[in-house]
Amino acid sequence: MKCPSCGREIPDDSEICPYCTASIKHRVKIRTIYVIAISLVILVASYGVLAYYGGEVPITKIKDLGLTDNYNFIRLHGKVDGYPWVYENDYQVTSFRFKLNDGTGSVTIKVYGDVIKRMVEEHKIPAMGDTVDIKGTYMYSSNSLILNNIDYIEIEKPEHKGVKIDDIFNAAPWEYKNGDKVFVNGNITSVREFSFGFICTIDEKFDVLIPRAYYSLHILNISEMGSAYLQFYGALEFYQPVAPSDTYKVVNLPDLLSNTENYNGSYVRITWAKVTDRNILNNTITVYSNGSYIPVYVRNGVKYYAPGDYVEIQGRFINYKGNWEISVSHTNDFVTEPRWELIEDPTYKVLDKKEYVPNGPMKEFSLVEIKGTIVDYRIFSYSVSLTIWANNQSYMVYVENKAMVKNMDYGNSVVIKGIVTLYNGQPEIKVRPFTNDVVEVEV
Amino acid sequence: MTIGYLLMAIAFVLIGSLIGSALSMLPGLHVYNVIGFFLLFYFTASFVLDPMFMVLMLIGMLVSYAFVFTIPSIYFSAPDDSTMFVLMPSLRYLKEGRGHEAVVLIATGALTGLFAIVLFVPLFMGPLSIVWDIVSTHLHWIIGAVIAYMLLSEFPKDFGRHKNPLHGLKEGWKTIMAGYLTFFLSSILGLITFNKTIVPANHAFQSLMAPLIGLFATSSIILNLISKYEIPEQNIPKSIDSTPQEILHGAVAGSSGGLFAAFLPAVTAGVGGYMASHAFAQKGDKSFLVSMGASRVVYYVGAIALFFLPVLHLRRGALAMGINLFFTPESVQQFYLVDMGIAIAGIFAFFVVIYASKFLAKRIYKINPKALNLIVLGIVVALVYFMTSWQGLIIMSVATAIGLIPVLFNSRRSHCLAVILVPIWLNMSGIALGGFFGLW
Repeated sequence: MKCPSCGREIPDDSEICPYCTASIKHRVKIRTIYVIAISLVILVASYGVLAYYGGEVPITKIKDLGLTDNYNFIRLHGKVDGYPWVYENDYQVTSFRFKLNDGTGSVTIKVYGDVIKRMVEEHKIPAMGDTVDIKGTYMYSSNSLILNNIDYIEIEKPEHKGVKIDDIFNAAPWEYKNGDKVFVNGNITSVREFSFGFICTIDEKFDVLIPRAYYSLHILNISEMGSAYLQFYGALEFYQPVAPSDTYKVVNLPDLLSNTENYNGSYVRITWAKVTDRNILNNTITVYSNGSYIPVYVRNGVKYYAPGDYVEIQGRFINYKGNWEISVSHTNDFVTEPRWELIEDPTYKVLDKKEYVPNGPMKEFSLVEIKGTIVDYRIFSYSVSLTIWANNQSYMVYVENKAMVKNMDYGNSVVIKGIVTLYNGQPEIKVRPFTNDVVEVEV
Repeated sequence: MTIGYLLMAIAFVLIGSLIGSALSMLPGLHVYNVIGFFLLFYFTASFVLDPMFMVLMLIGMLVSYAFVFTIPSIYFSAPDDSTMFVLMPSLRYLKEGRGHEAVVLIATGALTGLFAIVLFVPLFMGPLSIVWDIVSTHLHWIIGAVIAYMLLSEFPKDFGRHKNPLHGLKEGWKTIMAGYLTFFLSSILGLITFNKTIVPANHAFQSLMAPLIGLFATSSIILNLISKYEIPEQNIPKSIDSTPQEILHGAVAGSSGGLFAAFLPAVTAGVGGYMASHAFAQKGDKSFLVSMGASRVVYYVGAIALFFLPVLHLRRGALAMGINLFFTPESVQQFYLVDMGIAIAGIFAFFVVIYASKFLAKRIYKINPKALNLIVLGIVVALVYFMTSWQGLIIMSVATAIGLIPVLFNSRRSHCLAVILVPIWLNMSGIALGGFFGLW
């Protein structure tokens, strides 16, 4: 017989080829290997079916992201933390960003170029408190995720709950939660510009923050918003003007006053108290919290804290001339007025469109247009106060941004377009920047 | 995804496999050299071709290369860095008239490696990512350990009777010292190639081609030219001399080695498979050939599967890096599509190897081995000149001289792999030896 391996003639009873040492008995047929190879077709078909029906990229936890995920395409699921921001070049938005938090950590989401364009066109715009499911390329060094395609983001917007301004104005920190989605109705009575956006005061009480991202992308039109009675949609955020320090112990006022010796000389923080009395001569206010009162000495003065205001205090608990008080005198001490504000969503509803009424009645929150003569003016750091004479009466005008006024002089004719608000009970016309309000001085 | 898209995907895999199979028959030509040109072509035509189709075509080329390069390695004795280990046993098979059987053994190993990838990689999605998370920060010392293993695993061999003990000692250590000299010279060549190659800038992306061909292919061809041997008539068997247990043993060892190499930079399939064969206590050529086939496929194809594996997206190997220039794996769907493509290309390439081997086995003995080796040498030199210009030929000559040391002194050729291992290990360890040699 022939050796099945080398093909040489070998004795019939050989078990091993004497030439090539190949086994004659223990062999695997090549046909069997062919069958195994062809069986791969089953896997081909299986993967074809799986590819056809697709599958979702598994969600990655932010805490698990590391160097090995650099440049990887990953999927995250979390909530938008804070409000979005943009980078601009020559008044063109080059990058739109927001923070995503999944409870284990946060990542900055970056959107560029055409993706921003499509995001605006399709109105797939993330806002604070929205739940987002996003896929993109992860960049380890900047801990960011680049959204390559607008189809890779799904935004779930929670339902907004209607609240009244009076309910939120002076509401305690525990009455709402950061990120609670609400809507309020009102008129924009003041507009102040900051690098991060615009703080608009609604009905002279409540602040709404319009992120610059929405303004720069022409999603929120402040001039249209300024000429209407609106429904504002957004997320609540408790704004603390100064970040509290960890070294100050948060205390309950009754507890503090019942353990005076224990707390003597220690640094304390009272998160929420109402000003009940003010003594400008000795720089002291009295505050009320949880049924107890305490005097607070403020070295820098108390002119900004009127009775009825709610304040947060960080200072030292001391005994001054036999009386226990909180002394606000060191670098990290403060008395501030924290409050709830609304971070505007990229949407609003016009409830009533308003027009500027020439010589219109001085009714609160109405838009008026007055043509008159400047009889007095005062220039402040940022604003201008004018008194004009028209229609046989004088009008008080407050221009929020002094850059809006040119060629101001006594006796010049002026056309004012603004909103009527009350200042110390008296009506005045407020001229707001970024709206259709104007001050046109004729030389 | 539509049926039409799926059919187009299959078509592009087959086109890639066809091109890859044809090019892999050329001795000395590595698929990565060709893929570079395809990428350049794609960057100018990206607006007409869906990137996924391009990816599938490249994968088809890679899979067929992993299978089909067995042919030039065995019949033309022109191996690359991962087939050099099979050169000796396969030459033995060839001289016994069993060249086709050796090819079938390697192809069977490759097939088992392919099964390991398409079947098990998706199942071990989570564990692989955990392993990578742990391993990724320790790569530098693991590669260092691989180098140490390669150097220390060679020991003085018994050369039989000697004139005196001193002569015995000299003979025993001559092999080892030749191995270490090879390692040292290859390292220096690698450092120069990685830091300041003389290959012109427009060919620089092919700079590794010349040293690798010189170290492994041309040195083998020159050895064949100077040694006297005849290729006998080759038998085309209907069965192979192996048991299912031997095949399984080789498959497991090879797949483990290939996976090890696919995970670690600088470690190639040859080293991975070689270490695994030690780890799995392999005996005999049969199991070793199977394991080398498996290791090679798992190394090349596994790297690309790991790149598409959701959660991991490991960028290892030139193809993954090249694809990453224009494509980011984005979905599980793409991973399934890639797995499907790998399986299709695998079936295609397996049968190409078998039938090409049958074709060559029937004719190879008619050709004078010297003439054959001269032709192959001519092809290899022409390719190196075309790809890397005349400067590449100089590097190849130096590399050939280094590659001949282990051949002439009977030491391990694996020491030549220091050309890749040492520069990458130094780089990952933060040791800047390039500056020390005045290469910056």
